[in-house]
Amino acid sequence: MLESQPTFPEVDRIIHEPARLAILTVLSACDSADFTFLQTATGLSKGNLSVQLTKLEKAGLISIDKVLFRKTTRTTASLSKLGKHQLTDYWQTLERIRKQGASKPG
Amino acid sequence: MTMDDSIRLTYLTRHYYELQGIRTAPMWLCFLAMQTHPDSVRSYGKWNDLFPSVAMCLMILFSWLAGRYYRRRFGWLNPAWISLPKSRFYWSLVMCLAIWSFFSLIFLGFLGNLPYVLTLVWISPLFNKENLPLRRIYFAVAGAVVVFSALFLQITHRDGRIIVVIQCLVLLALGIADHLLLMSLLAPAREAADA
Repeated sequence: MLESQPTFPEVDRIIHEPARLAILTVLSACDSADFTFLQTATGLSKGNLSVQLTKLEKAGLISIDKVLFRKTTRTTASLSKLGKHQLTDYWQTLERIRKQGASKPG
Repeated sequence: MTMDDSIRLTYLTRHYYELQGIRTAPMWLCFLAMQTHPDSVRSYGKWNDLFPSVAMCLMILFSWLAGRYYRRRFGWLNPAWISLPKSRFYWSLVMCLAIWSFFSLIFLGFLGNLPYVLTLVWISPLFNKENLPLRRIYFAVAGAVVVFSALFLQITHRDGRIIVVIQCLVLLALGIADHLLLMSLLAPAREAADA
C-alpha cells in the first residue's frame, strides 16, 4: 500500500507570479504609490507593469486611481482590503510549506 | 522574486523619503555658508544684510528642485507611517539630555549641551532596528565624530561655530550616503529592466 503523501497547501497563483508579488510587496509597505515608483522599484517595463496592474485590479487585490496632476494623468495604485488579506494569507501559506519541508525526515 | 528582493522592496518603500538625502543637502550648505561667511550678522554692509535671506531663498529653491528630481526620476508614494525608533532607552536618553540641556541653558546660560541633543535626534536611524546594518553603522560613525569633536572643542575652549560647521558637514555627508544607499537599493531593479 502506498504511503499517503503530505499535501502542500495551494498558493494563490495570481499573487505567486514574481512581477505581481513584487508590486504587492511595494504596495503593502505604503498607502499608495504612483506608476513611476512601481516601475523604478520593480524594474518592470511600462507595458508589463500595466498588464500586471490590470490583472491585479481585475482580481480585486488593488485599486487604481487616475488623477489629473499638472496637466498630466498620474496613475496611483493601492492595496485593497482583500489584497491585504490575500497577501497575508499567501505569506502564511508559504511559511506553512517551509515548516512542512523542514519537518520532513531525511 | 527572492526573499532578499522582498526585504529590499519593503525597506525601500518604507524609507523612501528618508533616503532622499539630496533633499536636505541645500539646508546644510546654507547653514554652512552662514557660519563660514565672515561676520555676516555683525557687519552692516548691503551684501551682509542680504546674505542670510538670499541663502534661505536659494536653500528653499534647491530643496524644491531636489524633491522634484526625486519625484520625476523615481516616482512618488504616500507613506503608510513615519519610521521612528521604538527603543525606550533611546527616548529616555533624548528626554534626559533635553532636560539637562534646557536647565543648563536657563540657569547657567550654557549653550554647549545643545549639539549633543541635536546629534541624538538626527542619529535616530541608529536606534531604529528596521534600518539596514550599513545605515546604522554610518549614522553611528557620524554621531561619534560630532560628539567627540564637540567634547574636544569644549575642553580646548574653541569657537562654538566650529561645531556647527562640523555638524553641517557630517549631515551633508549623511545625506549623500543615504542617496547612494537609495541608488544601490534600486540597482537590482535597474539591472532587471536593462536585461
